[in-house]
Amino acid sequence: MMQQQNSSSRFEVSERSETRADITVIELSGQLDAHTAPEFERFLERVVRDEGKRKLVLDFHGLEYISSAGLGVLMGLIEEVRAVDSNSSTTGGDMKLAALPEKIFHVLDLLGFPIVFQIFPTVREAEAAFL
Amino acid sequence: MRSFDPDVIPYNEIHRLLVGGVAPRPIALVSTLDKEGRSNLSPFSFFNVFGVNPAVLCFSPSYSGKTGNPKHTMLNLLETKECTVSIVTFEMVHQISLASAPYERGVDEFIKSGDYYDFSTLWDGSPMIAIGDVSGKGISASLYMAETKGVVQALAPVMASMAELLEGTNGALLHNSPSLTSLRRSFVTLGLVSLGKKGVRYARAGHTPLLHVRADGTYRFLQPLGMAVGLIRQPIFVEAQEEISIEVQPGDVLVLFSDGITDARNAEGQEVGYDRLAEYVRDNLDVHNARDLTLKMLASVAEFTNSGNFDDDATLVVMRCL
Repeated sequence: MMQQQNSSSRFEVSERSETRADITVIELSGQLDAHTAPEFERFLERVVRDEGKRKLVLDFHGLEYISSAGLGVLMGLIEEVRAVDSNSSTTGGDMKLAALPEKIFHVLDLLGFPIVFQIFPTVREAEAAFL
Repeated sequence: MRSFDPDVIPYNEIHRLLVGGVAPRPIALVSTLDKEGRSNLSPFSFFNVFGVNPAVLCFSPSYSGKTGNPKHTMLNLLETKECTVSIVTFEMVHQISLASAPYERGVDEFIKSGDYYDFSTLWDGSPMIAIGDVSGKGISASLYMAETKGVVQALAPVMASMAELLEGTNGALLHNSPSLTSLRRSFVTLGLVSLGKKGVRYARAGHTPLLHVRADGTYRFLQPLGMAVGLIRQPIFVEAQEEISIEVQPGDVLVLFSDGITDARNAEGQEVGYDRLAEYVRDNLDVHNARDLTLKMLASVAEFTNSGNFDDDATLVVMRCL
């Protein structure tokens, strides 16, 4: 498990790998705002680009706040995650969102995120959608 | 010839004579931070370049011509010794005017310049009311909103529908952006209501829903599909666009609002919220003038929050069906 914490805003992001189907669950907690979004972006880029992980479940359970900068990070990487790599046999992946607090779901729903992202009530249901 | 004695005439009269006597002048848009890191955004009309060697750019952040108090920009400059200076263009005038309002020190005008509403005419001659809210902070967000307003104004008369207008706006903003990554740092929500021969229609790009309160007091929030402008490439944006028709009767009320209204909180941390906002309309259905109804609603929000101030931009557009 890797963990990072920002000193100014309280925000933590960590990952855990599920043995089945190469699923990676990324847990978010605290405040994902303009200060912490760059850290979240670096984290996601490392997972996606450096480690080549493509089946991601983002667990929003502990997230208290998400700003536009945080939403921008999700939008910025979704196409890359879904892209099919022509140099290998890997199929396109996905980034599924799970366990959104009501307030955060409301913001994402207004902005139209459910059109682009699959959103699930629980991490387990999001994982099952990969199987 | 008239003569003026500065020792005799009031301060604000001197200000009026000077700004009216030397015109037009460029407008500087100056951003500063105070020592707490709180940002401020202010326009200055006493602004120009005064020399090349040495290179000298001047603006005058001294005392407000309206209030006579020292400007926050000056106080911040004395504390941090740094600023950025941008030029105000015609398309930005409304947003800049918001930033120049006399807010308390520490209020971030970057946030305050985030909402807008406007009136346009569609291709078939129908009047259209637009409401918008830009996310994010900073000068880029403020400029982004000004750009969006310009695009909506330019496209409204040539697009066949509001859904197409939103698609065109998304396309134009994506086209003008240096990269999708930079664009996604902020995005714009828009709500459009047209009042044409076909009746009332509503289209939405990520904006808060339209509140429809009927004359009998029942109400609903209308939230057709639509993604915020500037978030996603055109094919997905277009696919997700929906424009709906709304049946209205005399006495019905339609309300466009920004989340600054419904997110306003009282001392206990409770938000105004959607249902309470609808209640404020229901409580005042006997008020027939839309402007008076707007003022009643704002008074209800202020009474609930026990404050006339909002943490965020707050915009309310109230329409009453005659």
